[in-house]
Amino acid sequence: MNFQGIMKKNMLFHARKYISIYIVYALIVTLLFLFASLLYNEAIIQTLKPSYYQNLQLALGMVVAFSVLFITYAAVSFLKYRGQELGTYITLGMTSKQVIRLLSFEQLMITGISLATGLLAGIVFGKLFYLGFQQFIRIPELTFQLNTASFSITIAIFLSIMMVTFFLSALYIKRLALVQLIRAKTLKDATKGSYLLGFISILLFVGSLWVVPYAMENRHETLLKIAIALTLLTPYFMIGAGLLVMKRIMKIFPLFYQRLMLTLSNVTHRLRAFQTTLYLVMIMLGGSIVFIGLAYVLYASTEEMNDASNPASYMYVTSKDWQGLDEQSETFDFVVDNYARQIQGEWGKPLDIIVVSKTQYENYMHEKITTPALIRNDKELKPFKTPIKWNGTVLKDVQHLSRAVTNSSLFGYNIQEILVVDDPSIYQGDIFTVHKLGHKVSKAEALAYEEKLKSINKVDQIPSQYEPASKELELESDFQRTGLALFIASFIGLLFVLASGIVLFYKVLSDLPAQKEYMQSLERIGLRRREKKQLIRNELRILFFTPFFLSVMLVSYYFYLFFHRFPNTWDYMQKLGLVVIVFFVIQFIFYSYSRVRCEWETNL
Amino acid sequence: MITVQKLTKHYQAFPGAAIVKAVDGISLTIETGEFIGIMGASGSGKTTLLNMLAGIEPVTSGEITIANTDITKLSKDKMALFRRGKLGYIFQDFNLLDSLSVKENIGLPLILDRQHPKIVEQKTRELMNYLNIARIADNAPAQISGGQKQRVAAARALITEPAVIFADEPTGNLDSKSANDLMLMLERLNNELANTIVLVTHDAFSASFCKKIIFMKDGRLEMTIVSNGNHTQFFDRILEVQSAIGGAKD
Ligand SMILES: Nc1ncnc2c1ncn2[C@@H]1O[C@H](COP(=O)(O)OP(=O)(O)O)[C@@H](O)[C@H]1O
Ligand SMILES: [Mg+2]
Repeated sequence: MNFQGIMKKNMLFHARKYISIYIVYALIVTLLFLFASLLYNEAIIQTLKPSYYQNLQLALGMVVAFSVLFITYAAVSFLKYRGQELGTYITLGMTSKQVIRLLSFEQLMITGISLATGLLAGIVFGKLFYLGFQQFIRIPELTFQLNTASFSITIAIFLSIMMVTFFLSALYIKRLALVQLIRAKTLKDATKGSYLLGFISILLFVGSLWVVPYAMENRHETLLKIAIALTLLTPYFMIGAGLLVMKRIMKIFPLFYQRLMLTLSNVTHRLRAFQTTLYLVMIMLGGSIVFIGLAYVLYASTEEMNDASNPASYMYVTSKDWQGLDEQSETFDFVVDNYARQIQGEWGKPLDIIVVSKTQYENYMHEKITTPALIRNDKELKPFKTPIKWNGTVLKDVQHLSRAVTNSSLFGYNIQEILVVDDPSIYQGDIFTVHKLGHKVSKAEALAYEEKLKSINKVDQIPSQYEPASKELELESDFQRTGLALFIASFIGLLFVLASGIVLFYKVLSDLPAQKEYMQSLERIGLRRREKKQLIRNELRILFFTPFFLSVMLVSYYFYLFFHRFPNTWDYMQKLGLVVIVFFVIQFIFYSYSRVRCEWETNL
Repeated sequence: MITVQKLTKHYQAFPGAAIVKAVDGISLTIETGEFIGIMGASGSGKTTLLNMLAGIEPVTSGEITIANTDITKLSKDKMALFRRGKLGYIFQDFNLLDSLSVKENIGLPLILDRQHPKIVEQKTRELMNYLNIARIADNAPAQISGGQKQRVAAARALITEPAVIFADEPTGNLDSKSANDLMLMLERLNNELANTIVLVTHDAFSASFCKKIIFMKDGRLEMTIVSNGNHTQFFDRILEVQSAIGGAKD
């Protein structure tokens, strides 16, 4: 038998082992391809706002960076898993050069096959993908186009990643001594945990959970950052201590303990490895749940937000330098003041605010108010601590009101706060007038109005301070923004979920040799098939679902904190719940696959 | 009573490879309460025979009847239950679980049987006292000596009060004092509790505690000798037979 023959035989023999790695690679190719095809899509290039397009590019960059880390991790873990096999080749007299040749042959095959399948899947599922994307982003002209650019960029990216991976694998083989290769399977990481560290971290965790809302309430930025960081870091130690404590507590109830003894001791026996994996997965899952959850809430409330921030269908501003439309409208006059409120030690930057007289305001809004009043279009209005100055004096007893007075995008987004004062002297200086049209203005009409404003004022481009605001046009752009956000979040979130699945899967895979030995020991003592299966199941459940539940708990807490002042908190929490359910399903699929794989490898 | 009829075990490493007849047509009867030793050169099939008797390895052909049950006809799971309930096995490599404490290792067969914790506690306690390992009850196997491991392995084999005890070279890893202690214990179990004991060993001194010894060669029974009750005389007789058959050392 020649070398080529051995390689082929080896490849066939390990075909099943490659399936997981093949699926990962093919999936990444598909994702890369679909993403690249978006970037080169005519309709997207033409309709998407440049800043949103940049987001798309940035996201592709993130996907690529992620794929590099991810594929490398998967490949190196896979190598470790096969350490013994490779060690055997070397023992049999293969040089490490030959092993690397063997690996490059395998890698070449795998790369080729997964590239082909991944692209094929991309072409097949492209239509579906675009239909989904269409739903998010609402660009009617968007269709799936096959262009050479997206093919070549996908192939180029994937091949470069594979090259990096291969280089690292070769390095790994060369660096690893023979003994280590052979012993790779039996290296057991028996470790002890620390109760004290666990106890301290639980205190810190609970403490910071309590501090976070306090710091938010009082806008204490440094404290907030520290507290959030602590809630994210301490779970690492808590997981370890938690498992130990669980074992301790169980021992008080021997009947329970005996049932779970094998599982619990197996986990605590290799605590450090378990702890790290569980924590890593918890953070990755939590991150992607937050990411997708927020984007989903943002997206789902796009219309609602649009309603809330646009009291009128169409608004524009006029001044002595800028003519308006010849339409019936309600108006009020205002001046712009840069120094009315300067923010120090609070979040945000110093703002321009507009100042209106009481009479004008009351006529326009059809309501009576007491002055001075500061008005924001914000449901959750909290009095500002900083003084508000007007005409050189600090105003006292300022009323804070929450009202939708103008469309939020009017006047180049500058109208965020309106100061109403009972002072006729305000109308010295540049006076602007806000116009609100009484009727509903469609998208086409809004575009026509825009053209009209340009021609009346004889300009090609409307200056930003005279930017009119159309509710319909804004909605369209809002959907582009939130849709793109949701899309990117889902995409990256999916990658994170995938990554956590892979981390878990390779943990299971690399534990297999030890697991097999363990199962054989138990079989000799007289463990039945069903009991062995149960044992594997228990351990996998801990591995797959503990980090899931921990991250869901933490995420729910933060989500609630973030949204509890909103009127639709419960609605948002439900949306988060939906995301969590989807994640659970994905996690369950990973779990089932790993379980089947584990049972297959241990001959169950 | 254990009866073995025309028992064979063939190994084939891969299709087309030569067949190794590890056990090649053995028939024998082991009476209840007997203390029998199996000796033979390395590779003569002792472990294979013992593993088949304990139902750990499937047979190629033949019958093994233990307490009126033909264990070769049992399913893998039934066999596991049978082994766990009726047989005790002291493994050559101890077969202790690293992740469990000494106490948990010993109680494992009872725990798997869902016995009440009080019973488990009481029986492990008793055995640990009997074998003088109570001090190390909460240690991990990694923290105890070879002799102690051997005794823990023995305790686990005994905890279900099995009718039959199999032991594969139990003194192989022990110093002579520990080996002597272990053999005395097995002898006592055999004398006082009438346990049937099947012992595989290459060590003539350990073998001299047996009441009967069968010698194996190339998977077959070569010879049987019976003790007259005198250790020293039996020991000499074993050495004689060993040198006659050849391959005394394992
Ligand atoms: N799993 C196996 N596969 C192939 N051959 C085996 C296997 N187990 C044992 N053998 C062979 O069977 C023969 C008997 O082995 P064994 O019963 O372990 O001998 P002993 O315990 O007397 O030293 C040996 O030749 C050994 O190589
Ligand atoms: Mg042997």
